[in-house]
Amino acid sequence: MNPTGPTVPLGDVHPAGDDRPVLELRAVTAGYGAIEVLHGVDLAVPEGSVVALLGPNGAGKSTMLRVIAGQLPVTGGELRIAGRVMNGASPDGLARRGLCVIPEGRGVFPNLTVRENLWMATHTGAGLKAVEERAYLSFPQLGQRRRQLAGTLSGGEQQMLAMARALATDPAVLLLDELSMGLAPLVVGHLYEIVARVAATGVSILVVEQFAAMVLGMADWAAIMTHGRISAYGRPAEIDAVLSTAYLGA
Amino acid sequence: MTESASRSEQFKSEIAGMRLRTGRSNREAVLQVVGVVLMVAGVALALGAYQASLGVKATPGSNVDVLSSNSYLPLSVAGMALSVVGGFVFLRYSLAQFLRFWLLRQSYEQRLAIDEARAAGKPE
Repeated sequence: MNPTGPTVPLGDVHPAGDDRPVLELRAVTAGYGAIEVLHGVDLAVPEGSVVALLGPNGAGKSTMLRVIAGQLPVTGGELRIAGRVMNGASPDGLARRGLCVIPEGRGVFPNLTVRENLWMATHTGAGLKAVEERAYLSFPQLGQRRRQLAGTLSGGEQQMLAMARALATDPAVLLLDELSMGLAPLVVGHLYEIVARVAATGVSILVVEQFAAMVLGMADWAAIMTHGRISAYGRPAEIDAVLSTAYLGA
Repeated sequence: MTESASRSEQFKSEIAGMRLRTGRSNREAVLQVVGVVLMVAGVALALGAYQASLGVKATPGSNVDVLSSNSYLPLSVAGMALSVVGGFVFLRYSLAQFLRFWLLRQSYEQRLAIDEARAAGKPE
C-alpha cells in the first residue's frame, strides 16, 4: 500500500501540492501544567493516508494525540484540522464531527457489556442495531460475547471492541494509540489488517506505535518522535533505515 | 463523488463550521477567582453596613436615627446574598475540576480491580 510518489525529505513534514494535509501541526508546544512535553512539533497527515508515528517511551507521542483530539490545550504553535486552525477546539466537538481516538489501554468501559459499550457509539445518530451489525461483521467473536462484561474480555478482544466502537462512528480521521500494547503478535496482525481495510476506504489515520515492523508495512508516511520533537519524517522505507539510529540517539 | 470522498468533504465542512471555545479552562480559573472575590466582598459589605449603622447618632424625640439605621439593612442583606452567590460560583467551578479528576480516578481504579480479579481467576 506504500505509494510510489515523490519523497518528502526527512524533516520536511509539510507536503505541498496535492497532498493537502487533513491534520497539521506547526511548531506545536503543549504539556501538563508547567511541564512542557511537546517542544515545537511539526507533522502533517495528508488526506486519506496512513501516517505512522514511532518513537521511544516518553517521547511525547500520546501527548501529541491528546493535543490533536482536543484533550490537552495547545500552548503554542498551530493545530490545523482540514486546513483550519483548531487550537482550543473541544474534544467532544471534534469527536462528533468524525475525529476518533482509540486511546492507549483501549478505553473500553470495563463494567459495561460488549453491547452496552457499542451503544456508546450511537451518539452520532446511528442506531444500536446498525452499530452492532457493523461491529460483529468485522469482529465476529464480539458477537458471541455481546452480553459479557468488557472488563472480562481478553486484551485482544478489548482492543477489538475499542476499534469496533470507533469504526461504528464512521470516522473521517482515526487516531490510534499503541494498538499492539500487551497483545500477542497474531492478534496485532489481525487488528492491523482491519486498520488497513479502514485505510483503504479513505479514512486518514495517524498510528502511534513503539514497535515499528508491522505499522511501517502499511503506512504511507512515517515519522520518528524523540524528546518531544519530530526528528525524522519520510516514506516508511526511509524511516526504517534511520530507525535504529534515531532510537539509539534518543 | 465516492462515499469516502463525500465523508471527507462532510468532515471538512463540519470542521469549517465548528465554533471554537478558546480559553475554556482559563475561564474556569477566572470564575473561581470571581467567586472568591464575591464572597469576600459580600461579607465586607455586610460588615461595613453593620459598622455604619452603629455610627448613626440618636436624636432625642425623633425617629430619624432608627430610619437611618434601618436603611443599612438592605445593604447588609445584599452583601450576604452576594457572598452566597460567590460561594456557589466558587463551588461550581472548583468542584467541576475536582469531579473530573475523581471520575477519571474511579474508572482507572475500577479497571485495575477488574484486571486484578481477572489475573487472580486465571489458572496457574
